[in-house]
Amino acid sequence: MPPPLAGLRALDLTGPLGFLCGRLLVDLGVAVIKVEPPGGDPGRRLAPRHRDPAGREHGLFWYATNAGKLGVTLDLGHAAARRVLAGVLPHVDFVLESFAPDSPAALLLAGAVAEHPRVVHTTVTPFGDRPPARGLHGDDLVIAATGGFMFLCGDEDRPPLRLPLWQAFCHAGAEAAVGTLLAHLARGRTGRGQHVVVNAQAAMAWTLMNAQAFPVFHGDCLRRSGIYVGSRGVRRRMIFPCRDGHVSLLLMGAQGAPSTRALMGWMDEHGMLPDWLRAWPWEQWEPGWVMGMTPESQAEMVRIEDAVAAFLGTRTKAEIYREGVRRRILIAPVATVADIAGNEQLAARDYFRTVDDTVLGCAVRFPGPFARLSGTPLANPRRPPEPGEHNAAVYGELCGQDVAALTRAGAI
Amino acid sequence: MRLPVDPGLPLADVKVLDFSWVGVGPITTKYLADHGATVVRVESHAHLDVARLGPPWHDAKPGPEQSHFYADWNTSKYGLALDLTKPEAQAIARRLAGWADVVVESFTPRVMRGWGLGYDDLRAVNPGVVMLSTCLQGQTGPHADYPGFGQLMAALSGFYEISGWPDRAPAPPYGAYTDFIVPRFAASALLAALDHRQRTGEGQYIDLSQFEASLHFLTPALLAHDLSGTVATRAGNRSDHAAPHGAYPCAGDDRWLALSVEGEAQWAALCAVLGRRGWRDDPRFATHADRVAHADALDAALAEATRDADAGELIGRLQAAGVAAGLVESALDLHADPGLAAWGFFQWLEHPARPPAPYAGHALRLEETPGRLRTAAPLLGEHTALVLSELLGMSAEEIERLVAAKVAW
Repeated sequence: MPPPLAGLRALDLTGPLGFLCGRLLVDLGVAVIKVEPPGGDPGRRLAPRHRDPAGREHGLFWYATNAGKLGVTLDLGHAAARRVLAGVLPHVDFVLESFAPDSPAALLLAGAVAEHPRVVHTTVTPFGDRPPARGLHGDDLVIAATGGFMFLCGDEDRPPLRLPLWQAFCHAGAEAAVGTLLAHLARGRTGRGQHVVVNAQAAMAWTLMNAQAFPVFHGDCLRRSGIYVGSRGVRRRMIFPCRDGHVSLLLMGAQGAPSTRALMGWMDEHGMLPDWLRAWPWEQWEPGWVMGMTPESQAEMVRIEDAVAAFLGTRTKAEIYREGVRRRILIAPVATVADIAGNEQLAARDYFRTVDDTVLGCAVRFPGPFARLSGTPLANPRRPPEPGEHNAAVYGELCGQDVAALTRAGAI
Repeated sequence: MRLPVDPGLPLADVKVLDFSWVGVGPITTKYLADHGATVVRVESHAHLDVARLGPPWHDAKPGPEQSHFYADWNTSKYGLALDLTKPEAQAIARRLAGWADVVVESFTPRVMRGWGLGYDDLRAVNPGVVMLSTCLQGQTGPHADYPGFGQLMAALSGFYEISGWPDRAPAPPYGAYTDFIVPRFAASALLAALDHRQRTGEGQYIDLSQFEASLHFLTPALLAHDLSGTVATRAGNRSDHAAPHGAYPCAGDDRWLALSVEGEAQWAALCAVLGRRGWRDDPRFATHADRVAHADALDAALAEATRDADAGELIGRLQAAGVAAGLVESALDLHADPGLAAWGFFQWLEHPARPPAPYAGHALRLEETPGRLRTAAPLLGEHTALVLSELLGMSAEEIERLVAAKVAW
């Protein structure tokens, strides 16, 4: 069976802020035509990069988020650009872009799309499309900051942190996929497309697990707290060193008591359960929010955490994960990409998909489907396009334009 | 048999039976509910959705109707309370599956099957149903029953390893990070399957492993490892596309400016705005590559230059000069952010048991048929009688009997 959205087409003019949107549509079966300036998209340079045997560098964020797209080039400043777009738009169902508002490219595209009321047109923005934030400059870091993420991330004695690997771009792009599909379903009822706007700052604020509401109800803000769980009036550790890295564990009582008891049992098997912890009333122990911490109870927490840390420091990540699964202890390795590449569960589910990449000249192991659909499985990954690789197929065969003339004119 | 709908919303004809709980499932169905779908949350009064007990709490007090965590993610939904451990409640749930276009659940794999509510059971009642199951590691494989919550998944799926400073232990992001990645994939999969159903009449089953979906936010690092053996780890705020690139102190308590400077024009603009034209003659900062190579010295110089500045005023001047700059916003700053206010991000809703409060709105807007937070989240069992009478045609006496028997609530 083909993927669920097979037969639909998208024209993708996004920058890094919106790359992932089209990639989700590719996986769902949409033929996504990525438009780049002649010579290639500047987003191809974003880190991390891979140097192929010929010495050419390939940005892997581009590679990941444009995999499976068709690649065409177009100089949006060229006099022929409007005509080229007008030739493509009758053949597409979605238009995706992240142009700065009121920029020449944004105006050119908006004018062209207005002729096609059936098209769903999605615009990904850093801060929305309304004054006063409309048009402000924001890259991944600034979106992570203004979305409230960085205030909560990092060590107390150092500056706030973002997560690397373009997480804000990813959130914005994935949110744009949801918005695009909501408008697609609306089109199923009305036959009309519409404009969808995505606000990356707001998409980031969705990741805060409601921390944004703390001042409203509790009168103060949570702050970054390093290896401790972000919390009020209590320090609960969630990162512990082990023999070959770190693991994440939150010591819990009450509903979490069975997990904690299982951990204590494992420590006991290795002679590392202190006597004073043997008869601990885990079912009645609920630190933090409910119990209300006194200096004495905080000191007690630290004493327990130190006993657990002493034990975990003797074990490896793999061993802790294996025993955690077996004993039903709520604990996880702080996995590296190497750990993930060797993960037994992902292997058992045949998650990674190997693609023979003729451009890189090697096999590439991609993450597999983000969801398993029984009737319409997602598309298998394919390598991203070279700049202009599909100019002839798209402009010529699909749209009936004179590719040679457009190339001679320097438009594509 | 239908509950009242708003025909102006794009999913007004979509009916969802939602057994999910905590984060991923309810956040996924929030997209649908706020865009018009009729979403019936099935909850257990015997085993509460843990989100109902999660902070922040109204009046700073815990309780099943106090959680704003639950409230934020369950707007526009109906609340039906059933004790699904009881066979009679399971039979009611199967009948409701006949009403639904979409069923969503997020238990560990054995739970729904054990209740006779697995996909095969529900397909027998409703062949066209689209069912989404999402648990941490997927429905099959040796770790399918892996219990836990999003903090563990964020560690297992690689996000903690790369969060923090290179000379220290990981400093994880706040909260269950992957719980806020996965719904974007889950909603996309669900909407695509729903579109397929509307065109063909065919339902299907979706097995969404939160592990597998989350890894799509780490693909570049997974590819780098595959291609060259590189193992990504913590790097603070460093990135070689921009320098300076990080958070710099400003006047006040824990006030920080986030700044990302790419290329020569922005560098010149930064030096001019800060009145540090001498930096442009400093050989350590001569080119982009030099600034990346001397990022520590550059960060120290920046921090000295911004330390006494008013963050808002400086950000305004940097933005006007074309530099990407913004405030490291605390929760209070988010509520005071004029851009988020213009977007309409926080929306105040009435609630039957509590004073009005600001709820998180959406990061996407359909210009012609925008979603909206139609109602606050339901009280536990708030719509039990309504759902059972309107959708299953039960009499008031029958519903009373079910409540008395603690089958329903």
